[in-house]
Amino acid sequence: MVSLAPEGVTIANESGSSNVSTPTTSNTSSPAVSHANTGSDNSSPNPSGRREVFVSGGQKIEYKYIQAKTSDGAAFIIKQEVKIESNNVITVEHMPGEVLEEDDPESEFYVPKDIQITRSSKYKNIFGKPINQNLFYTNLRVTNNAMATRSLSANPDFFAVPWEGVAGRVGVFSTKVQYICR
Amino acid sequence: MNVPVLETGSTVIDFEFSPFDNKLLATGGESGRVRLWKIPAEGLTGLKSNVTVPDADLLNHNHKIVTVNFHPLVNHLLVSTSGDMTAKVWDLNKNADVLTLRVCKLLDSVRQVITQTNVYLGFY
Repeated sequence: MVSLAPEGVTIANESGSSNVSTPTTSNTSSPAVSHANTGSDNSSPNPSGRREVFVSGGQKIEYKYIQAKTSDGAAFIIKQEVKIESNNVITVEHMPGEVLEEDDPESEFYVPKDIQITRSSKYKNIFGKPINQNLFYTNLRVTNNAMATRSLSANPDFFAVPWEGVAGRVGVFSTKVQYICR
Repeated sequence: MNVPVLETGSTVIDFEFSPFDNKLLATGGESGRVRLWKIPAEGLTGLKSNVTVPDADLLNHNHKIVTVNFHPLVNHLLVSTSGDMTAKVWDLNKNADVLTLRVCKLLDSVRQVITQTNVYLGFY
């Protein structure tokens, strides 16, 4: 969306900036911009006359879209901020399903949006690597008994697992000593 | 090759290391005994046979042990719940139970009991 000053509308193009606004008529209050369709016509695809209300942090900001024309007759839309003073009631106006104007690549004011080429993922460039086999504790004979509700208790020095066999065996191993069970 | 392990005497149901003493392991089993074991610094791998004699035997439950939990903040308190619908708080300095709570159902975690009886535990 092109934001333009109310007076002296300046349009930038390849050849540089050229002032296209010349006050031709005398009955308009702002000479370069002629307001049109300021009513709330929500059904038209043209967003002129549309109002948007943003509520952020208890602050209410309202924008109004105004259709304007340059002296050449090219129509464009002005997004205008509406000042709201001491309005205690915060309401959000829900607009009916209205499609904002389509991007027209032929338009003079066409600005291409950011096209995301790369896929963004927070797991990108993260690769798992299995730990070295000599740091494993293998062949632990952990019991299959369903009575043992806990399957591991550990601290920095030891770890304990319920061991298979009779008489309620608990295997306790030191993490400091390398242990190889055959 | 048989690895030397602890033999708690009956089917072990729950066991936990102390959060204060890394060598202290508490086990609870079907015999209703809560047993405390002092693990040697090098572990059990250097021993010739299984360890069968515990460091302490906490005997007052009438049913099998369900959970054994150390108090996370007090180093000499241990809470055990049992199938006799009680939760007992054990003082490990005296090796005796100092508080018995009747519970209406078996608890999954004894931390709930600990938080509810924090005021009582402050006395010990």
